[in-house]
Amino acid sequence: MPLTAKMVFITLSAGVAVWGMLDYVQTPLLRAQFHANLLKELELNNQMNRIILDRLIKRFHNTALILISQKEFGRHVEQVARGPWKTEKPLANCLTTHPPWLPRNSVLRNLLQAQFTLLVDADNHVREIYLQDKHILPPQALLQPSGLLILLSHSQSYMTEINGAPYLITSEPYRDEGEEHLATLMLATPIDDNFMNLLREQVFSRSLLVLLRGERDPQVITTSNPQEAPRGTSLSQLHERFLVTSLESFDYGSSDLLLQFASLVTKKEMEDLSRSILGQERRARLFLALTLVLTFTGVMVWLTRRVQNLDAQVRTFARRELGEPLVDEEDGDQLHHLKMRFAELTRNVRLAHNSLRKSAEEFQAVVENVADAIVIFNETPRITVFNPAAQRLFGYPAEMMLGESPARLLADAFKAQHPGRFDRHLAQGFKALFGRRLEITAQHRDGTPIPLSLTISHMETSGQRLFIVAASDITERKRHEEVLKASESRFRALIETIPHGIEESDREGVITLSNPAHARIHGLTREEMVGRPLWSLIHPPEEQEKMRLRFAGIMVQQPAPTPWNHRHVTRDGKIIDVQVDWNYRRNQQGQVMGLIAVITDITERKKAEARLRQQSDELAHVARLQTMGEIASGLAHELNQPLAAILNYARGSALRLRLGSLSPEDLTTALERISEQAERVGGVVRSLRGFLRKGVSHKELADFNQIIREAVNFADFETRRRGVALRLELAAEPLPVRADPIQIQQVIINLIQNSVDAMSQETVNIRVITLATRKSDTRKEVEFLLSDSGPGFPEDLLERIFEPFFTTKEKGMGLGLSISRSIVENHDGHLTAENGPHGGAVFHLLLPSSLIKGEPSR
Amino acid sequence: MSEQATIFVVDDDQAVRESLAWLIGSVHLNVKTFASAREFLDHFNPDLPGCLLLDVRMPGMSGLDLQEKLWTEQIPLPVIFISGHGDVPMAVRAMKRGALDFVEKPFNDQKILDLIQQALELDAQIRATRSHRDTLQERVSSLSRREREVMDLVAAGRVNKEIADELNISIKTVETHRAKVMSKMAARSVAELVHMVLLHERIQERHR
Repeated sequence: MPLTAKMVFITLSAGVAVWGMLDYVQTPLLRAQFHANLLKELELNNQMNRIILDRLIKRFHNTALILISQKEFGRHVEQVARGPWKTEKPLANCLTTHPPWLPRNSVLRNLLQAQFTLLVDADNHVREIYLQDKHILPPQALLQPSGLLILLSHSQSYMTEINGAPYLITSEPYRDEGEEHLATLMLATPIDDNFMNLLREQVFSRSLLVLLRGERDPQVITTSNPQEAPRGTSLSQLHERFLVTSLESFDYGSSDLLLQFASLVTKKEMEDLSRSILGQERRARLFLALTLVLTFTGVMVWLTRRVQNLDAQVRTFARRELGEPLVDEEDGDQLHHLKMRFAELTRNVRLAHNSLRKSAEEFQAVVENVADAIVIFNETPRITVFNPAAQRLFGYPAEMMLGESPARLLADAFKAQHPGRFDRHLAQGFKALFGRRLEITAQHRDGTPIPLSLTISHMETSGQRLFIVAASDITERKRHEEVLKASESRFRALIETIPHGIEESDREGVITLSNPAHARIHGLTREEMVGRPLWSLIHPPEEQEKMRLRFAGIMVQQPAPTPWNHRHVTRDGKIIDVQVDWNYRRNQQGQVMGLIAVITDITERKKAEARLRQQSDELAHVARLQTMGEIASGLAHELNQPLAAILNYARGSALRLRLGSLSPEDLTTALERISEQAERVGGVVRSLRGFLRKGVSHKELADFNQIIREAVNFADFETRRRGVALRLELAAEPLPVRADPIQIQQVIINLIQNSVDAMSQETVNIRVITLATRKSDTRKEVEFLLSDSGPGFPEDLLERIFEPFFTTKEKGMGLGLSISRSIVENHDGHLTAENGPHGGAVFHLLLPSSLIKGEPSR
Repeated sequence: MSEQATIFVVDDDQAVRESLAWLIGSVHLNVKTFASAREFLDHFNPDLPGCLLLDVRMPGMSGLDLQEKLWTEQIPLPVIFISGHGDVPMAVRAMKRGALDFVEKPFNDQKILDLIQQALELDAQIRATRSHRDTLQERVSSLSRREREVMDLVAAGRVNKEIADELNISIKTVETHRAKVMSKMAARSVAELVHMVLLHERIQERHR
């Protein structure tokens, strides 16, 4: 059964059931309410009727008042009361047909609805009676009204019983201007059917009105419908056939009659009314119920259709998007199915979402952390992903590149070289580039070209084609390649051009590589060198076998390499001295594969060394001459100074003499100055002669301090010339030594000269040399310390400075310090150099003190 | 020459210093001697006319250092170097810095006296130029900004109408400014004014 039909059936059944139930419950309720409403309405009616009745009764009295106040009435009464009534006796029958006080005006006459109208004199005798209906005579009691009139003292209506019939009576006295009571007008009418008709005319209700009288079971005395409720019917009888609304008991003033007033509705009439109303009600309800059921059914059908659509959509979604078809159940409740589907779908979606989120996170993590620059762009082409590595590589923050064309990252030079290449590839979807590793040049934000190695791939996502570029910076690799290439070519050039021979051998001692110098040294070609054993060149030949054995031993024991010195024989038979510096040649596993050796031809060096040894003895004298040359210019300065002064004084004096302004005092002064300066010249020349005196070592006992002072005097020329200050800190006590003063002075001057030269650099601001002497702590030696404010020695050269020919100066032979040390050592002393704690060079000279040696000082 | 020029002798060798003073004193010139460059700087007043006889090599501040200092402080005192033992590079350096001459000791008295005379004339000339320059500078700085603009435009050969248009002022105002410029600059003709402006521009450039 299709869902729609089922829904319609359920809806209809539910509708009918609800309607039936409502009908069952609602009808009695409605009926009861109808009764209550009806009763309330009747009650209201009855009260209304009662008010009308009251008004009717009041009108009786009002009628009397109106009649009395007529002029005709007053005139008539004053006439008859003062005339006839004084004289005449009241008559038994005094009916009048048309009394003069009765208003002629018909309207006023209509007021008079009383059955009997009586005019009573002051003595309470009835004088005139007017009848409404000529055929109905007043009862006898009315004709002797004195009893009745007493009751009328309040001039109001009241009810009383006359001859067993209820009467409504009212009266009003008439007084003249002097307030004398002349007559009383009295109205009386029986409360009968006429009275009831009168009442009926006034009310609107269709209901039956009855007046009842009696204490126990009151009986109807008059009725508005004698057929339905005839006179004399008792109240209990009325209850059988009528719905009796509340009984209204009433009396007026001093009435001695108790009457009850009721409105009646027949029960049958009420039933009919009730039925008709209820019927209408039920029809309306039925109509309403049907409308509701139909509407609801419509809505349900519509909803069902939607549910089915939804179900279909969910199934389609599950199949297409998640790839997991939902279980297709043909039977059963479709809503239930839908619920199950949703649950399943939710689960699937959650699973899919989780895996999606996980893969997205993984993707994100990969893209964020991968070392390669990742750039993803679409076909537009606009960059959509620009990972941190790419930001670092290209120097752009991601937000600057997102949405930009990736072509912007290409190097300008690349774009110029391959115009339009990017756009062509883009048009073809980069098909030609997939799966290839490309090397292109991109451009950093600052314009630096970046060589890149990259791959490009693509993916389809949400109908969009994306291209993924993974690029890595190969600047380093390129640089390494170039460095390697350069290094190799450097190495090759070195091997080719170095003047030392280089050879490689295998484990058997066979030469596998030989550089041009190696071949050249031996007068052979490189081809001739390769392939022969290492030792085949050794001279004399008998040494070759020794070397072969030694080589074999080295291969086995692998001792630390030490250089060999051999003699080799060249092609043309020349014997050469070679030094072989060698080391092991190892493969990557560290195994020894043979030797690599540098062969230096030291033939010339050996000869030079021999020559040098020959010459070294002559050197000391040469060096001294050189030192002399260096200080000669200083000496010249020193001579020029006094000579210039002498000249100035002489010329000045001559000038003055010529000008006639030379006083004897001036002349004296000038001549004295000239003499002083001439002596100064003499002193300089003397010192020089002493220094130049040639002689072999001539040791004598001398004061070390004095030797220093004299040396300083010589050096003073040069130091002053070079802007260097000399500071002396000599020991106060004499320091006797046995030495050649000239030679020691030469040492001191050499050391000073050395410091002066070292401090001549521009960078040296303070130029001071301090010379100090003292006795050593053991008192066996005298010490001399020279420290300067120069740059000091480079640490690695400290030991070499005393070597002959070692020099850092452009001029100079590098012999000064060497000679100095040899002189000092010739005196059994020591000369060393070091760098001072605050920079600068420090020379330390030690000489044996002569006193300790036990020799006499004088 | 309003004041008597002075020859400043700076040499660390007392004998040389005093003998020079003696020699120069012989021809009735004012001489002041100093034992070091520092002592000279402490007593030197650049407003006084004169010249400097300077020994190259001295302990502490050398003669070349002193010349360098005068150069950087733009003191145009003529310098004659005297040297006991000068070498060529030193002489070149001194001459490049504008030394008048570089004389080796012992020297010819006539030569040194001639050089001194030459130096004093040079000094007088420099002082005159400088004073003229200062006057000009003073006159230019007395001009208001607007007057300065007018003067530059006049010097550029513009007529009053063009100046008025360029500066967006009335011709009458231009004439007023122009008259003030002429009087403040003490120029007797436009040609003279143009000369002054050009000279001033050259000075400004050199100072830059």
